[in-house]
Amino acid sequence: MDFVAYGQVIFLVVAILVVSYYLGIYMERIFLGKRSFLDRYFGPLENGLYRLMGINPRQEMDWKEYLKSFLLTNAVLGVIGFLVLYFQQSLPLNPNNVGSLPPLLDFTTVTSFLTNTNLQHYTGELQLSYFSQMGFVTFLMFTSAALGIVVAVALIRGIVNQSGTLGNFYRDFTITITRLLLPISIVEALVFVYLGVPQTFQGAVIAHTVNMGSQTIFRGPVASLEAIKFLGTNGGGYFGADSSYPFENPGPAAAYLQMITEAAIPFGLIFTYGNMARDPKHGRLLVAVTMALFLAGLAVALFAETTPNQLLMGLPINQSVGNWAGKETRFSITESTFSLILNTYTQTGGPMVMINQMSPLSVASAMFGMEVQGSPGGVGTGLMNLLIYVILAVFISGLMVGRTPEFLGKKISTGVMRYSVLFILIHPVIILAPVAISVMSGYAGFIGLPPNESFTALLYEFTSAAANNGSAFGYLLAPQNTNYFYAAEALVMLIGRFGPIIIAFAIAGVLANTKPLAQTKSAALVDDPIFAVFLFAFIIVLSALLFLPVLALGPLAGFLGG
Amino acid sequence: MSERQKLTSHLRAVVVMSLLFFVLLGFAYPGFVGVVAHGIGLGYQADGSLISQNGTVIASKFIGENFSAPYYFWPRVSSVGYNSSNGSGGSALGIATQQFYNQTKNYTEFLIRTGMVPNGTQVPANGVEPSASGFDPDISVGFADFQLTRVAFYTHLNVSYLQKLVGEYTTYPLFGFIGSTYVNVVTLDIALHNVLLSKGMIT
Repeated sequence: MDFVAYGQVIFLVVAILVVSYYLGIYMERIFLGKRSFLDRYFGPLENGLYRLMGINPRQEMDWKEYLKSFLLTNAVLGVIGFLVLYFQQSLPLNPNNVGSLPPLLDFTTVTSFLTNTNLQHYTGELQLSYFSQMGFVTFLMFTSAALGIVVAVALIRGIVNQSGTLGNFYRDFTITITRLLLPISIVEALVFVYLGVPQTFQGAVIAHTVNMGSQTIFRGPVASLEAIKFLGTNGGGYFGADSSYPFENPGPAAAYLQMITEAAIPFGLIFTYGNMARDPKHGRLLVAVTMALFLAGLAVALFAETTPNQLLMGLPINQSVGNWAGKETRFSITESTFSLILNTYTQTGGPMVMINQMSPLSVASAMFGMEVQGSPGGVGTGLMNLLIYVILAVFISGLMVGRTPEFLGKKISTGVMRYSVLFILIHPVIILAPVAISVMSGYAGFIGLPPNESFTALLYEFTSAAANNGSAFGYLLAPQNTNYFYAAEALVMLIGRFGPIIIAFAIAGVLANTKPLAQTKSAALVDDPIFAVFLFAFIIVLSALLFLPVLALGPLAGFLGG
Repeated sequence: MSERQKLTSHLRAVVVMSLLFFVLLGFAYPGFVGVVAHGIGLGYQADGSLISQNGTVIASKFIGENFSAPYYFWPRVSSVGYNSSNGSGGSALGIATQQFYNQTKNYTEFLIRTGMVPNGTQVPANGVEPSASGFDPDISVGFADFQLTRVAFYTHLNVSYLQKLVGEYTTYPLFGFIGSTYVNVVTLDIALHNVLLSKGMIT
């Protein structure tokens, strides 16, 4: 790595921290309902929406009612999404005349976008109409992001409140869209257009190229999708090649904007949490821990990608800058690698590289990010994972020093511990069980891949589905078994999304009804940098214990020459 | 309120909310962005940055094309062959596999054989390793330099002229450090094509 490469990394990290700090303050203000000059513009729109919905935004909900509205919303959105996809052939805005997808793929795709995963087993430019790209993909990208964020907000309120209530679901969901996601997306989409991302409703155009050929140039409403794809850590591409496709990511300026916005809300919510808990130092320490985990993963991948590919050493190839395979020329190797790690650690999943052409060590690092899920993780769900790690770490460190484990002044009860352990166990089970079943049953028959890479591809696919990440490792599916994979992945995505969320609501409910203890010295435990170091080590050890064996069979074996 | 009434009122709220946002986010928002983009003079980008010549669309400056004649600068390896009806994406072969080695070895040897380069010249990795999208419109400066001898031979243009032409289509890092230094091979080859046309070397 040279001087410029360090400059690129430092610039991105500083920009992400600065933007997320201020966005964190802004999110705190809107979720606390503080008055602002924006009320004059957004207030009437929001009140109109509330009136049509027939709800009172000031009515507080307990965890069960909040969860009920949350799940009901997901169910209704799923139905709308399925109808849009299922009938896309007969719906308008289909200038390229694409047909319909197989119904089971419709179902898996709905699951994928409903759960903020965005795993795609279709090629967008060939198989989706403009109606579907907007009314299905773009729409669900907003709602799945907003639904993730409200979970985090409800959990924060559970930790802070003593009233037993978590706020009003409809208000939280509405203002997340009207005051956070939509305004930023509008501005960002226009900047993307300026930088070269298309936004048109005209069909594909056939170019008659100068070398006597022809080239179909696919386009469409790309910029509006692109903005929320990153802001909401969605990651599903308009085109098959996702963020590496020049129309999705036309140059370095667009790439930096994408990377900064995809990290802004996951990191920003940690600041929001610290501020709402009236313990900003605790929030800053958590940002430091998550950023340290991210940078550790990045360091491994950067080392691997800037090293020449050993296999090609005997050939007359100049590999002085590292591994060019699966990367685009307009981005430096460092930037492409940064994108890979950021997209897996934020659960966005739309990197500007071809993941299966990265070095095995980078792949291992990327998978580690999807296993941790909280460094910083997806919008809302990342903070949720991080807070469960904090609760577990507080409990264990409390036991180690012989104090009653308490968290921000509230005693951690047996119930909370039981829920937290259950929460942590869901993730490994829904990765390892389907991988084992696929291998043992012989469903994982791959075409033309050596055994080690087949295993890595399989493990990557289910890890990505379980973490609701959505990045894909090459072309996984063996055609004869697609239905098996569609069904298995849909199930994994649903459990991976809603299992932890339901448990998090239960924890929020218990905590919201817990009366704080009288302030004691140990209450400041989570403000101690030593706790931050402990948490960092705890997260690494826990994930290593759960996942190191399978990583050793997959990418690590590949690295060692498997 | 009974449980049943409560559920009905929730259901009403959820259905109305979902439909309102379906219209707002799925259609009003993309439509608004499209109209504003065209309204503030970004129509060229919004329509796909198309390049036209004599009223015919010949390319988009962002979408790579398969310039394979020896008098053009060649683009990077594409796993979809720059054919958009094949979809888009990179190669399925992992970089530690034997197939990848064989593929890379063959193409490296081909480039050296056709490149008219002195013995012992190395091919830049950018030229032999596949791109991520399959439509990378750019090549590295190193790979452009590597091709100068061949292009000069087939076009009868001198190397310094070609170097100047390459320089015109080279993008340097933003603020000196953001992005890489890259040559847009689509616009470069169109310019080269027009030079050859004007000299009557191709028809």
